[in-house]
Amino acid sequence: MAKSNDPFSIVYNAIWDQLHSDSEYEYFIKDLNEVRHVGYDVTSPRKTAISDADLPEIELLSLGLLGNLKASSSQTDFFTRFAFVLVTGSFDYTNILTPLQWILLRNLINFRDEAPPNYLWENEQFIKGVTFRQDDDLLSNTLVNRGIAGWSLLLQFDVHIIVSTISLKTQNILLTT
Amino acid sequence: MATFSGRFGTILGIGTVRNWNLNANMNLIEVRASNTKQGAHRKKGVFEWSGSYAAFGGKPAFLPGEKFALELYTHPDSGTTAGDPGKKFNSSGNAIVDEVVITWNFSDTGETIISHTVSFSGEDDLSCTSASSSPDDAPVDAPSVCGASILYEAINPTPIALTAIPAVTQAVLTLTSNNIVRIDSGTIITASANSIIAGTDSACARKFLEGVKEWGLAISRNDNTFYADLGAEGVYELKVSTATNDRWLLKWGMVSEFSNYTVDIENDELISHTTNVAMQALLTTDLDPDNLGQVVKPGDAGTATHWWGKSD
Repeated sequence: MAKSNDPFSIVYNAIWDQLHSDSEYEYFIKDLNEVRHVGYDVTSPRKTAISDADLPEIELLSLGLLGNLKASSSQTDFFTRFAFVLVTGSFDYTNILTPLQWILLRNLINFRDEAPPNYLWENEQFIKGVTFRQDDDLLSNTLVNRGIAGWSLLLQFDVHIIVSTISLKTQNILLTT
Repeated sequence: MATFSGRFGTILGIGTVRNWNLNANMNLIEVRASNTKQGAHRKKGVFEWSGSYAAFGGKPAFLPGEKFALELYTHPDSGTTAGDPGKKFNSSGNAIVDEVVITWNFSDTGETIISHTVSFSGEDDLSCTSASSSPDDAPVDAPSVCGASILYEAINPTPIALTAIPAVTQAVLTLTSNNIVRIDSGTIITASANSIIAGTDSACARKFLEGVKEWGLAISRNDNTFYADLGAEGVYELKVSTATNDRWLLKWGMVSEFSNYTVDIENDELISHTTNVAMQALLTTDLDPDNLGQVVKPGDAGTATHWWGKSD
């Protein structure tokens, strides 16, 4: 299957890249405990048998889009809502949950400030903003933490994307392999 | 007295009407004299009436300076069935259009239908009468959504080929005619049972002549440019689309104002600004009347019927 270079894919991958630029994030989260919905070889796709080494686990979900196909005469804009789902497997609020929460928020604002010039679509900056929406900290929500005991969180944020309408209409997105 | 909603309202000959309103003014003249004992006594002055209607679409049925027989229908008396007998406002004279405002709005959520407002003044009397039936709505001019572009072509000093202005969030085209009012003492309005003008006095009516014409275009944009595209010195031909290959042609325009450059940090909004373009009848470097401009309604290109300017 060919890889896609559409703006949503660029943003999804860019968020992971942002997290990996943070050494403290890498201290807490092992590569194999990231649930990335990318390609055939999705790393650790929601393991069913969880051991201590599989936690904390973090997943990046897309929750959907809001937007305006004709935001202006030439532009289309989208608010793409993403969520970090963090499952700690621990009841330690101060040493596991809050530092990871802080690290995620730190990377959100760094992504907001640093990503726009570094990721282009059709030679144009297309990431126009990142807005923090909501963070739910949970001790028991089987939908979020798949029944794993301990703190989990669901941190939602929007990435504001603007592309030229003509590029949405005409630009091919599949990368030749 | 029954109270109705406006849902069955119509205007004869005009489709896709969103709303209409009407004002009548008697211009009462105040008199205080020895015999009024300091009280205000009033006599009827010149009777005038005016109103407006809003409709969808980018091609108004009437343009500024044009007269038309106005029939405004309120609501059928039955309260339930469109077309039943009801009330209407009309005049033995005409309405004349003072101003038309057409709005293209891209920035609302989703695409927005182009709409316009027509403001008019009336001549002669105004009556509210019973209508045996309210008219069927005029054939619907399927309204265009904003999906079209605003194009400009620079004429002078630096020629630029026809180009689309990017990132336009809203365009507002205003066409006006400062119509000449003539008070017609020969047309004395008399009172009647159904007339708006009650009482036994009489009043003079207004008459109109088509007046001075003007247009202005305000273009709001989301971008970080200053006097880009439409510069401060240039003379431009503008084309504002109502649909594919269906455009208002505005020849020529000059930028009159560059305003509302807004950088909203608090709400993290997109940078925005507005450029106002004003009518320019002749090219600045060439005052030859052969170079008179045009204002052409969509669909009128190639015809002799133009709102203003040279025929094709």
